[in-house]
Amino acid sequence: MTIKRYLALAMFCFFTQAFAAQSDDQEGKLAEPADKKNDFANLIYSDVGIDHSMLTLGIGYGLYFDVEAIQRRLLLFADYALPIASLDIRDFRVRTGIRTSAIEIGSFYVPVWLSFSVNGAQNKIFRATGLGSELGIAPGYYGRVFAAASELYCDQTWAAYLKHSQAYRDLFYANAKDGWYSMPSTSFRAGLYLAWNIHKRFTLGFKGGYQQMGQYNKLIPPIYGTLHTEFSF
Amino acid sequence: MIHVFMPMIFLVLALINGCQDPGKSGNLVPKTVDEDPSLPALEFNNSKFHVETFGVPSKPVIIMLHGGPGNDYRYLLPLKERHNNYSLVDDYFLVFWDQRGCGLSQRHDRSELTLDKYAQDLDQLVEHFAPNNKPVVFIGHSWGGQYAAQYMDRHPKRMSGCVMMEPGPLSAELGKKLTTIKINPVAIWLNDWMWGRQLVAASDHERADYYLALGVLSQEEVKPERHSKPVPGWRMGTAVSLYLAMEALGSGSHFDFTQHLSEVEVPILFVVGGNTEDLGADFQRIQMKPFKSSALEIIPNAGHNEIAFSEAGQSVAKIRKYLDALNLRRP
Repeated sequence: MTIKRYLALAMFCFFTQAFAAQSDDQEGKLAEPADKKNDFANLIYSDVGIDHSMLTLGIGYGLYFDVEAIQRRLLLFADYALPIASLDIRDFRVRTGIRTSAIEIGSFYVPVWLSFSVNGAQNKIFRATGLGSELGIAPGYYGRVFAAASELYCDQTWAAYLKHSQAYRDLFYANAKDGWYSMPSTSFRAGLYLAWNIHKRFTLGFKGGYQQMGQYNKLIPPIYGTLHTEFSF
Repeated sequence: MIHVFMPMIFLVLALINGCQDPGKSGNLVPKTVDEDPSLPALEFNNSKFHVETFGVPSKPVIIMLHGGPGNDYRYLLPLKERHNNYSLVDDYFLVFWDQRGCGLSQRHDRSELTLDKYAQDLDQLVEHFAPNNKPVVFIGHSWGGQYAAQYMDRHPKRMSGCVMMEPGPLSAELGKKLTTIKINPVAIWLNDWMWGRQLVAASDHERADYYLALGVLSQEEVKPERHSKPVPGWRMGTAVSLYLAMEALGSGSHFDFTQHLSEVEVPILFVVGGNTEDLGADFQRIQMKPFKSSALEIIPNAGHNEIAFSEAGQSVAKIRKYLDALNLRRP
Protein backbone atom coordinates (compact mmCIF):
# COMPACT_ATOMS: atom_id res chain seq x y z
CA MET A 1 0.00 0.00 0.00
CA THR A 2 1.35 3.41 -0.95
CA ILE A 3 1.72 6.33 1.41
CA LYS A 4 -1.12 8.12 -0.41
CA ARG A 5 -3.45 5.21 0.32
CA TYR A 6 -2.46 5.22 3.98
CA LEU A 7 -3.16 8.94 4.15
CA ALA A 8 -6.53 8.52 2.44
CA LEU A 9 -7.47 5.75 4.87
CA ALA A 10 -6.38 7.85 7.82
CA MET A 11 -8.43 10.83 6.60
CA PHE A 12 -11.46 8.61 6.12
CA CYS A 13 -11.15 7.23 9.67
CA PHE A 14 -10.60 10.70 11.04
CA PHE A 15 -13.71 12.25 9.52
CA THR A 16 -16.02 9.30 10.15
CA GLN A 17 -14.90 9.06 13.78
CA ALA A 18 -15.13 12.81 14.27
CA PHE A 19 -18.65 12.73 12.87
CA ALA A 20 -19.54 9.82 15.13
CA ALA A 21 -18.10 11.63 18.09
CA GLN A 22 -20.11 14.75 17.36
CA SER A 23 -23.25 12.57 17.17
CA ASP A 24 -22.38 10.79 20.41
CA ASP A 25 -22.00 14.15 22.06
CA GLN A 26 -25.75 14.45 22.07
CA GLU A 27 -25.69 11.76 24.76
CA GLY A 28 -23.00 13.15 26.98
CA LYS A 29 -20.03 15.43 27.37
CA LEU A 30 -16.96 14.45 25.41
CA ALA A 31 -13.29 15.31 25.34
CA GLU A 32 -13.23 16.72 28.80
CA PRO A 33 -10.47 15.96 31.24
CA ALA A 34 -10.92 12.61 32.88
CA ASP A 35 -12.21 14.06 36.11
CA LYS A 36 -14.95 15.90 34.25
CA LYS A 37 -16.51 12.88 32.62
CA ASN A 38 -19.67 13.12 34.63
CA ASP A 39 -21.42 10.20 32.98
CA PHE A 40 -19.00 7.62 34.24
CA ALA A 41 -17.74 6.33 37.53
CA ASN A 42 -14.77 4.30 36.40
CA LEU A 43 -11.83 4.59 34.07
CA ILE A 44 -9.23 2.18 32.84
CA TYR A 45 -6.28 3.45 30.92
CA SER A 46 -2.99 2.44 29.43
CA ASP A 47 0.19 4.11 28.24
CA VAL A 48 2.68 2.48 25.97
CA GLY A 49 5.86 3.96 24.55
CA ILE A 50 9.10 5.62 25.58
CA ASP A 51 8.72 6.25 29.28
CA HIS A 52 11.94 5.61 31.20
CA SER A 53 12.57 2.70 28.84
CA MET A 54 12.34 2.25 25.11
CA LEU A 55 9.03 0.44 25.50
CA THR A 56 7.11 0.78 28.72
CA LEU A 57 3.60 -0.44 29.34
CA GLY A 58 1.50 1.14 32.03
CA ILE A 59 -2.02 0.07 32.94
CA GLY A 60 -4.23 1.79 35.43
CA TYR A 61 -7.63 2.18 36.99
CA GLY A 62 -9.39 5.33 38.10
CA LEU A 63 -12.43 5.99 40.24
CA TYR A 64 -14.36 9.27 40.01
CA PHE A 65 -15.95 10.81 43.03
CA ASP A 66 -17.38 14.20 43.95
CA VAL A 67 -16.08 16.28 46.82
CA GLU A 68 -18.73 18.73 47.84
CA ALA A 69 -16.42 20.73 50.09
CA ILE A 70 -14.29 21.91 47.20
CA GLN A 71 -17.00 21.49 44.57
CA ARG A 72 -14.79 19.36 42.46
CA ARG A 73 -14.92 15.95 40.86
CA LEU A 74 -11.80 14.02 41.67
CA LEU A 75 -10.21 11.07 40.00
CA LEU A 76 -8.45 8.66 42.30
CA PHE A 77 -6.12 6.55 40.20
CA ALA A 78 -3.57 3.78 40.52
CA ASP A 79 -1.36 2.28 37.89
CA TYR A 80 1.44 -0.16 37.34
CA ALA A 81 4.15 0.19 34.73
CA LEU A 82 7.07 -1.89 33.61
CA PRO A 83 9.49 -1.96 30.70
CA ILE A 84 8.33 -4.62 28.28
CA ALA A 85 11.01 -4.42 25.60
CA SER A 86 13.26 -6.43 27.86
CA LEU A 87 10.76 -7.78 30.31
CA ASP A 88 12.07 -7.83 33.85
CA ILE A 89 9.53 -7.78 36.65
CA ARG A 90 12.17 -6.40 39.02
CA ASP A 91 11.85 -3.12 37.09
CA PHE A 92 8.50 -1.62 37.96
CA ARG A 93 6.63 1.48 39.03
CA VAL A 94 3.47 1.42 41.15
CA ARG A 95 1.72 4.74 41.51
CA THR A 96 -1.41 6.09 43.11
CA GLY A 97 -2.68 9.62 43.07
CA ILE A 98 -5.44 12.09 42.66
CA ARG A 99 -6.38 14.39 39.82
CA THR A 100 -8.79 17.24 39.39
CA SER A 101 -9.33 20.43 37.43
CA ALA A 102 -7.98 23.47 39.21
CA ILE A 103 -9.46 25.95 36.75
CA GLU A 104 -12.28 25.65 34.24
CA ILE A 105 -13.05 28.41 31.76
CA GLY A 106 -15.20 27.20 28.88
CA SER A 107 -13.21 24.48 27.17
CA PHE A 108 -10.04 25.59 28.84
CA TYR A 109 -9.11 23.41 31.76
CA VAL A 110 -6.17 23.20 34.07
CA PRO A 111 -6.00 19.63 35.34
CA VAL A 112 -3.53 19.06 38.17
CA TRP A 113 -2.46 15.83 39.75
CA LEU A 114 -0.37 14.55 42.59
CA SER A 115 0.74 10.97 42.90
CA PHE A 116 2.98 8.86 45.07
CA SER A 117 5.02 6.03 43.68
CA VAL A 118 7.17 3.06 44.54
CA ASN A 119 9.82 2.27 41.94
CA GLY A 120 11.92 -0.82 41.61
CA ALA A 121 14.97 -1.35 39.46
CA GLN A 122 17.63 -3.97 39.09
CA ASN A 123 20.62 -3.80 36.82
CA LYS A 124 24.30 -4.71 36.81
CA ILE A 125 25.32 -2.12 39.40
CA PHE A 126 22.42 -2.01 41.86
CA ARG A 127 19.08 -3.27 43.04
CA ALA A 128 16.95 -0.39 44.25
CA THR A 129 13.58 0.57 45.59
CA GLY A 130 12.56 4.21 45.56
CA LEU A 131 9.77 6.26 47.07
CA GLY A 132 8.69 9.26 45.09
CA SER A 133 5.99 11.67 44.11
CA GLU A 134 4.87 13.38 40.96
CA LEU A 135 3.22 16.78 40.70
CA GLY A 136 1.83 17.74 37.33
CA ILE A 137 -0.28 20.24 35.47
CA ALA A 138 -1.73 20.02 31.97
CA PRO A 139 -3.39 23.29 30.98
CA GLY A 140 -5.03 23.38 27.60
CA TYR A 141 -8.03 23.11 25.37
CA TYR A 142 -10.25 20.14 26.05
CA GLY A 143 -12.89 20.32 23.33
CA ARG A 144 -15.68 18.00 22.41
CA VAL A 145 -13.71 15.90 20.02
CA PHE A 146 -10.12 16.88 20.50
CA ALA A 147 -7.90 17.97 23.31
CA ALA A 148 -4.61 19.79 23.00
CA ALA A 149 -2.76 20.67 26.13
CA SER A 150 0.71 21.31 27.39
CA GLU A 151 1.92 19.25 30.29
CA LEU A 152 4.55 19.98 32.83
CA TYR A 153 5.49 17.80 35.71
CA CYS A 154 8.14 17.02 38.22
CA ASP A 155 8.91 13.53 39.42
CA GLN A 156 10.93 13.46 42.61
CA THR A 157 12.37 10.33 44.16
CA TRP A 158 12.58 11.30 47.81
CA ALA A 159 14.50 8.31 49.02
CA ALA A 160 15.81 5.09 47.56
CA TYR A 161 17.33 1.99 49.04
CA LEU A 162 20.35 0.93 47.00
CA LYS A 163 22.08 -2.40 47.25
CA HIS A 164 25.19 -2.52 45.11
CA SER A 165 25.95 -5.55 43.01
CA GLN A 166 28.98 -7.71 43.65
CA ALA A 167 30.16 -6.91 40.12
CA TYR A 168 30.22 -3.21 40.96
CA ARG A 169 32.15 -3.88 44.15
CA ASP A 170 34.59 -6.20 42.39
CA LEU A 171 35.28 -3.98 39.41
CA PHE A 172 34.80 -0.47 40.78
CA TYR A 173 34.27 0.35 44.42
CA ALA A 174 34.44 -2.33 47.09
CA ASN A 175 33.40 0.13 49.82
CA ALA A 176 30.23 1.39 48.13
CA LYS A 177 27.63 1.92 50.84
CA ASP A 178 24.33 0.07 50.70
CA GLY A 179 21.38 1.79 52.32
CA TRP A 180 18.90 4.62 51.98
CA TYR A 181 19.87 7.59 49.86
CA SER A 182 18.00 10.88 49.92
CA MET A 183 16.67 12.57 46.80
CA PRO A 184 18.74 10.53 44.37
CA SER A 185 16.74 11.46 41.28
CA THR A 186 14.62 14.30 40.00
CA SER A 187 13.09 14.51 36.57
CA PHE A 188 11.20 17.29 34.87
CA ARG A 189 9.04 16.80 31.85
CA ALA A 190 7.59 19.38 29.52
CA GLY A 191 5.52 18.22 26.62
CA LEU A 192 2.24 18.03 24.80
CA TYR A 193 -0.89 16.04 25.33
CA LEU A 194 -3.01 15.51 22.25
CA ALA A 195 -6.19 13.46 22.44
CA TRP A 196 -9.00 12.39 20.20
CA ASN A 197 -12.29 11.16 21.62
CA ILE A 198 -13.13 8.40 19.23
CA HIS A 199 -16.17 7.49 21.25
CA LYS A 200 -17.73 8.96 24.35
CA ARG A 201 -16.21 6.09 26.28
CA PHE A 202 -12.93 5.83 24.45
CA THR A 203 -10.08 8.31 24.13
CA LEU A 204 -6.90 7.90 22.15
CA GLY A 205 -4.08 10.27 22.93
CA PHE A 206 -0.39 11.01 22.69
CA LYS A 207 1.86 12.39 25.36
CA GLY A 208 5.38 13.37 24.54
CA GLY A 209 8.10 15.91 24.94
CA TYR A 210 11.36 16.74 26.61
CA GLN A 211 12.62 15.38 29.88
CA GLN A 212 15.48 16.60 32.04
CA MET A 213 17.12 14.10 34.38
CA GLY A 214 20.34 15.75 35.50
CA GLN A 215 23.04 17.69 33.72
CA TYR A 216 25.12 14.63 32.83
CA ASN A 217 22.23 12.53 31.60
CA LYS A 218 22.97 13.05 27.93
CA LEU A 219 23.88 9.62 26.71
CA ILE A 220 20.24 8.89 25.86
CA PRO A 221 18.07 11.44 23.98
CA PRO A 222 16.04 13.38 26.59
CA ILE A 223 12.60 12.52 25.28
CA TYR A 224 9.49 10.69 26.30
CA GLY A 225 6.47 9.76 24.23
CA THR A 226 3.59 7.41 24.88
CA LEU A 227 0.36 6.39 23.25
CA HIS A 228 -2.41 6.92 25.76
CA THR A 229 -5.79 5.19 25.76
CA GLU A 230 -8.71 5.61 28.13
CA PHE A 231 -11.93 3.70 28.48
CA SER A 232 -14.66 5.05 30.77
CA PHE A 233 -17.55 3.04 32.13
CA MET B 1 -6.14 18.64 57.03
CA ILE B 2 -3.06 20.21 58.58
CA HIS B 3 -3.21 17.62 61.35
CA VAL B 4 -2.81 14.92 58.78
CA PHE B 5 -0.19 16.53 56.57
CA MET B 6 2.19 17.94 59.18
CA PRO B 7 3.14 14.56 60.69
CA MET B 8 3.58 13.19 57.18
CA ILE B 9 5.87 16.06 56.24
CA PHE B 10 7.92 15.56 59.41
CA LEU B 11 8.11 11.84 58.69
CA VAL B 12 9.40 12.47 55.18
CA LEU B 13 11.92 15.04 56.43
CA ALA B 14 13.12 12.67 59.13
CA LEU B 15 13.49 9.91 56.56
CA ILE B 16 15.45 12.14 54.20
CA ASN B 17 17.61 13.45 57.02
CA GLY B 18 18.61 9.93 58.01
CA CYS B 19 19.62 8.99 54.49
CA GLN B 20 23.01 9.06 52.88
CA ASP B 21 23.86 11.71 50.33
CA PRO B 22 24.28 10.27 46.81
CA GLY B 23 26.20 13.37 45.80
CA LYS B 24 28.94 12.86 48.40
CA SER B 25 32.10 11.04 47.34
CA GLY B 26 32.78 7.95 49.39
CA ASN B 27 29.19 6.71 49.28
CA LEU B 28 28.50 5.56 45.72
CA VAL B 29 31.95 6.27 44.31
CA PRO B 30 35.40 6.70 45.88
CA LYS B 31 36.82 10.09 46.78
CA THR B 32 39.12 11.86 44.35
CA VAL B 33 42.62 13.15 45.11
CA ASP B 34 41.35 16.61 46.00
CA GLU B 35 39.01 15.02 48.56
CA ASP B 36 41.35 12.36 49.97
CA PRO B 37 44.91 13.56 50.71
CA SER B 38 46.10 10.00 51.32
CA LEU B 39 45.93 9.24 47.60
CA PRO B 40 49.10 9.61 45.50
CA ALA B 41 48.71 12.84 43.56
CA LEU B 42 50.46 15.45 41.47
CA GLU B 43 49.32 18.99 40.75
CA PHE B 44 49.91 20.66 37.41
CA ASN B 45 48.04 22.71 34.85
CA ASN B 46 45.59 23.94 37.49
CA SER B 47 44.36 20.48 38.36
CA LYS B 48 45.16 17.64 40.71
CA PHE B 49 45.84 14.24 39.21
CA HIS B 50 45.92 10.72 40.60
CA VAL B 51 49.44 9.51 39.75
CA GLU B 52 51.40 6.41 40.73
CA THR B 53 54.92 5.56 39.67
CA PHE B 54 56.79 2.26 39.71
CA GLY B 55 60.49 1.67 39.30
CA VAL B 56 63.64 3.75 39.47
CA PRO B 57 63.19 7.37 38.33
CA SER B 58 66.60 7.46 36.61
CA LYS B 59 65.53 4.80 34.11
CA PRO B 60 63.80 5.62 30.80
CA VAL B 61 60.26 6.79 31.41
CA ILE B 62 57.15 5.04 30.16
CA ILE B 63 53.93 7.02 30.51
CA MET B 64 50.74 4.97 30.44
CA LEU B 65 47.74 6.48 28.69
CA HIS B 66 44.44 4.85 29.51
CA GLY B 67 41.38 4.59 27.32
CA GLY B 68 38.01 6.26 27.24
CA PRO B 69 38.17 9.18 27.34
CA GLY B 70 36.59 8.67 30.72
CA ASN B 71 38.21 5.46 31.95
CA ASP B 72 41.21 5.29 34.28
CA TYR B 73 44.52 3.48 34.65
CA ARG B 74 43.42 0.68 37.00
CA TYR B 75 42.88 -1.80 34.18
CA LEU B 76 46.36 -1.07 32.80
CA LEU B 77 48.12 -2.12 36.00
CA PRO B 78 48.67 -5.72 34.79
CA LEU B 79 51.13 -4.21 32.30
CA LYS B 80 53.52 -3.56 35.21
CA GLU B 81 53.17 -7.05 36.69
CA ARG B 82 55.76 -9.75 36.32
CA HIS B 83 55.03 -12.02 33.39
CA ASN B 84 57.36 -14.92 32.55
CA ASN B 85 59.82 -13.61 35.12
CA TYR B 86 59.96 -10.15 33.54
CA SER B 87 58.42 -6.83 34.48
CA LEU B 88 58.73 -3.55 32.60
CA VAL B 89 59.61 -2.07 35.99
CA ASP B 90 62.94 -3.96 35.78
CA ASP B 91 64.13 -1.65 33.02
CA TYR B 92 61.85 1.39 33.00
CA PHE B 93 60.24 3.98 35.25
CA LEU B 94 56.48 3.54 34.80
CA VAL B 95 54.05 6.41 35.27
CA PHE B 96 50.39 5.55 35.67
CA TRP B 97 47.98 8.49 35.88
CA ASP B 98 44.28 9.17 35.66
CA GLN B 99 43.69 11.78 33.00
CA ARG B 100 41.88 15.05 33.73
CA GLY B 101 38.43 14.43 35.18
CA CYS B 102 38.88 10.64 35.18
CA GLY B 103 39.39 7.94 37.77
CA LEU B 104 40.49 9.49 41.05
CA SER B 105 41.71 12.73 39.50
CA GLN B 106 39.98 16.01 40.28
CA ARG B 107 36.63 16.64 38.61
CA HIS B 108 36.01 19.61 36.35
CA ASP B 109 33.20 21.26 34.49
CA ARG B 110 32.85 21.46 30.75
CA SER B 111 35.15 24.46 30.16
CA GLU B 112 38.11 22.54 31.61
CA LEU B 113 37.49 19.39 29.59
CA THR B 114 38.82 20.11 26.13
CA LEU B 115 41.37 18.53 23.81
CA ASP B 116 43.56 21.62 24.28
CA LYS B 117 43.56 21.16 28.05
CA TYR B 118 44.37 17.50 27.59
CA ALA B 119 47.28 18.43 25.31
CA GLN B 120 48.62 20.85 27.94
CA ASP B 121 48.29 18.19 30.64
CA LEU B 122 50.39 15.69 28.72
CA ASP B 123 52.99 18.33 27.81
CA GLN B 124 53.43 19.15 31.47
CA LEU B 125 53.43 15.53 32.59
CA VAL B 126 56.19 14.67 30.12
CA GLU B 127 58.18 17.70 31.22
CA HIS B 128 57.76 16.71 34.87
CA PHE B 129 58.90 13.10 34.55
CA ALA B 130 61.24 13.37 31.56
CA PRO B 131 62.75 16.86 31.62
CA ASN B 132 65.53 17.97 29.29
CA ASN B 133 64.68 15.53 26.53
CA LYS B 134 65.11 12.48 28.74
CA PRO B 135 63.92 9.36 26.87
CA VAL B 136 60.18 8.90 27.17
CA VAL B 137 57.84 6.31 25.70
CA PHE B 138 54.03 6.23 25.65
CA ILE B 139 51.96 3.08 25.98
CA GLY B 140 48.45 4.11 25.03
CA HIS B 141 45.42 1.87 24.92
CA SER B 142 42.35 2.75 22.85
CA TRP B 143 41.78 6.49 23.41
CA GLY B 144 45.23 6.46 25.04
CA GLY B 145 46.65 5.67 21.59
CA GLN B 146 44.80 8.61 20.11
CA TYR B 147 46.09 10.78 22.94
CA ALA B 148 49.63 9.66 22.16
CA ALA B 149 49.07 10.51 18.49
CA GLN B 150 47.82 13.97 19.47
CA TYR B 151 51.08 14.53 21.38
CA MET B 152 53.29 13.17 18.58
CA ASP B 153 51.44 15.28 16.05
CA ARG B 154 52.38 18.36 18.08
CA HIS B 155 55.89 17.17 19.04
CA PRO B 156 56.95 14.73 16.31
CA LYS B 157 60.62 14.72 17.37
CA ARG B 158 60.15 14.37 21.12
CA MET B 159 59.18 10.74 21.58
CA SER B 160 61.66 7.92 22.05
CA GLY B 161 59.03 5.34 21.20
CA CYS B 162 55.32 4.67 21.31
CA VAL B 163 53.14 1.60 21.72
CA MET B 164 49.61 2.04 20.44
CA MET B 165 47.29 -0.68 21.66
CA GLU B 166 44.22 -0.68 19.43
CA PRO B 167 44.02 3.09 19.22
CA GLY B 168 40.76 4.71 18.24
CA PRO B 169 40.70 6.70 15.01
CA LEU B 170 43.58 9.15 14.69
CA SER B 171 41.38 11.61 12.79
CA ALA B 172 37.68 12.20 12.30
CA GLU B 173 38.18 11.11 8.70
CA LEU B 174 39.63 7.78 9.76
CA GLY B 175 36.73 7.42 12.16
CA LYS B 176 34.36 7.30 9.21
CA LYS B 177 35.96 4.01 8.19
CA LEU B 178 34.67 2.41 11.38
CA THR B 179 31.28 0.80 11.27
CA THR B 180 28.65 2.75 13.12
CA ILE B 181 27.47 1.18 16.33
CA LYS B 182 23.95 -0.15 15.88
CA ILE B 183 21.95 0.17 19.06
CA ASN B 184 19.23 -2.37 19.56
CA PRO B 185 16.30 -0.42 21.06
CA VAL B 186 15.06 -3.46 22.96
CA ALA B 187 18.45 -4.41 24.38
CA ILE B 188 18.38 -5.22 28.09
CA TRP B 189 21.32 -2.93 28.86
CA LEU B 190 19.63 0.07 27.22
CA ASN B 191 16.35 -0.41 29.04
CA ASP B 192 18.12 -1.10 32.32
CA TRP B 193 20.04 2.12 31.76
CA MET B 194 16.93 4.19 31.10
CA TRP B 195 14.82 2.66 33.85
CA GLY B 196 17.43 2.95 36.57
CA ARG B 197 17.73 6.71 36.04
CA GLN B 198 14.47 7.09 37.94
CA LEU B 199 16.40 5.99 41.01
CA VAL B 200 19.82 7.51 40.40
CA ALA B 201 19.90 10.49 38.05
CA ALA B 202 23.18 11.97 36.82
CA SER B 203 22.75 15.32 38.53
CA ASP B 204 26.36 15.63 39.69
CA HIS B 205 29.75 14.03 39.08
CA GLU B 206 29.27 11.44 41.83
CA ARG B 207 25.97 10.09 40.58
CA ALA B 208 26.96 10.39 36.93
CA ASP B 209 30.24 8.54 37.48
CA TYR B 210 28.46 5.85 39.48
CA TYR B 211 25.83 5.36 36.84
CA LEU B 212 28.29 5.15 33.95
CA ALA B 213 29.72 2.03 35.57
CA LEU B 214 26.52 0.37 34.35
CA GLY B 215 27.67 1.06 30.79
CA VAL B 216 31.07 -0.46 31.50
CA LEU B 217 29.59 -3.58 33.09
CA SER B 218 27.34 -3.93 30.04
CA GLN B 219 30.23 -3.56 27.64
CA GLU B 220 29.81 -6.97 26.05
CA GLU B 221 26.31 -6.01 24.96
CA VAL B 222 27.07 -2.35 24.15
CA LYS B 223 30.08 -3.06 21.93
CA PRO B 224 30.01 -6.72 20.93
CA GLU B 225 32.47 -6.06 18.11
CA ARG B 226 35.19 -5.46 20.72
CA HIS B 227 34.85 -9.00 22.16
CA SER B 228 35.81 -7.58 25.52
CA LYS B 229 34.82 -8.35 29.04
CA PRO B 230 34.46 -5.49 31.54
CA VAL B 231 37.71 -4.45 33.19
CA PRO B 232 38.17 -2.81 36.59
CA GLY B 233 38.34 0.91 37.10
CA TRP B 234 38.61 3.31 40.00
CA ARG B 235 35.75 5.54 38.97
CA MET B 236 34.34 6.60 35.63
CA GLY B 237 34.69 10.17 34.38
CA THR B 238 31.28 10.82 32.90
CA ALA B 239 31.78 14.49 32.09
CA VAL B 240 34.90 13.54 30.12
CA SER B 241 32.94 10.86 28.26
CA LEU B 242 30.30 13.42 27.35
CA TYR B 243 32.45 16.36 26.36
CA LEU B 244 35.48 14.62 24.88
CA ALA B 245 34.38 11.18 23.72
CA MET B 246 30.97 12.18 22.43
CA GLU B 247 31.57 15.78 21.34
CA ALA B 248 35.23 16.58 20.63
CA LEU B 249 35.93 13.10 19.23
CA GLY B 250 32.43 12.01 18.29
CA SER B 251 30.63 11.93 14.97
CA GLY B 252 30.53 15.40 13.47
CA SER B 253 33.85 16.40 15.03
CA HIS B 254 36.85 17.51 12.95
CA PHE B 255 39.87 16.45 14.95
CA ASP B 256 42.99 15.37 13.08
CA PHE B 257 46.05 14.04 14.89
CA THR B 258 47.80 12.86 11.71
CA GLN B 259 49.12 16.05 10.13
CA HIS B 260 52.71 15.74 11.39
CA LEU B 261 52.92 12.04 12.16
CA SER B 262 55.05 11.52 9.05
CA GLU B 263 57.78 13.53 10.84
CA VAL B 264 57.97 11.02 13.70
CA GLU B 265 61.38 9.38 13.38
CA VAL B 266 61.03 6.51 15.83
CA PRO B 267 59.25 3.29 14.88
CA ILE B 268 55.77 2.83 16.34
CA LEU B 269 54.43 -0.46 17.63
CA PHE B 270 50.76 -1.24 17.11
CA VAL B 271 49.30 -4.05 19.25
CA VAL B 272 45.88 -5.49 18.46
CA GLY B 273 43.75 -8.33 19.71
CA GLY B 274 43.01 -11.12 17.29
CA ASN B 275 39.32 -11.05 18.19
CA THR B 276 38.67 -7.32 17.90
CA GLU B 277 36.62 -6.41 14.85
CA ASP B 278 36.27 -2.63 14.61
CA LEU B 279 39.66 -1.54 15.98
CA GLY B 280 41.43 -4.71 14.92
CA ALA B 281 44.31 -5.41 12.54
CA ASP B 282 42.59 -4.28 9.33
CA PHE B 283 41.74 -0.87 10.73
CA GLN B 284 45.13 -0.38 12.36
CA ARG B 285 46.95 -1.14 9.12
CA ILE B 286 45.21 1.95 7.74
CA GLN B 287 46.16 3.95 10.83
CA MET B 288 49.81 2.92 10.49
CA LYS B 289 50.15 4.61 7.11
CA PRO B 290 51.02 8.15 8.30
CA PHE B 291 54.06 6.88 10.21
CA LYS B 292 57.46 6.40 8.55
CA SER B 293 58.07 3.20 10.42
CA SER B 294 55.64 1.00 12.26
CA ALA B 295 54.97 -2.63 13.08
CA LEU B 296 51.85 -4.56 14.00
CA GLU B 297 51.67 -7.32 16.58
CA ILE B 298 48.55 -9.42 17.06
CA ILE B 299 47.65 -10.99 20.40
CA PRO B 300 45.66 -14.09 19.45
CA ASN B 301 42.31 -14.85 21.10
CA ALA B 302 42.16 -11.44 22.74
CA GLY B 303 39.63 -8.63 22.49
CA HIS B 304 39.98 -4.89 22.91
CA ASN B 305 40.45 -4.80 26.68
CA GLU B 306 42.13 -8.18 27.01
CA ILE B 307 45.33 -6.99 25.29
CA ALA B 308 45.89 -4.64 28.23
CA PHE B 309 44.33 -6.67 31.00
CA SER B 310 43.88 -10.43 31.03
CA GLU B 311 46.39 -10.97 28.20
CA ALA B 312 48.78 -8.27 29.42
CA GLY B 313 51.56 -10.85 29.67
CA GLN B 314 51.48 -11.48 25.94
CA SER B 315 51.46 -7.75 25.24
CA VAL B 316 54.37 -7.12 27.62
CA ALA B 317 56.45 -9.71 25.73
CA LYS B 318 55.83 -7.84 22.44
CA ILE B 319 56.45 -4.47 24.10
CA ARG B 320 59.67 -5.68 25.69
CA LYS B 321 61.01 -6.85 22.33
CA TYR B 322 60.07 -3.50 20.75
CA LEU B 323 61.65 -1.46 23.57
CA ASP B 324 64.82 -3.57 23.52
CA ALA B 325 65.21 -2.70 19.84
CA LEU B 326 64.93 1.01 20.67
CA ASN B 327 67.94 0.58 22.97
CA LEU B 328 66.80 3.27 25.41
CA ARG B 329 68.78 1.86 28.31
CA ARG B 330 72.18 2.81 26.91
CA PRO B 331 74.13 5.09 29.24
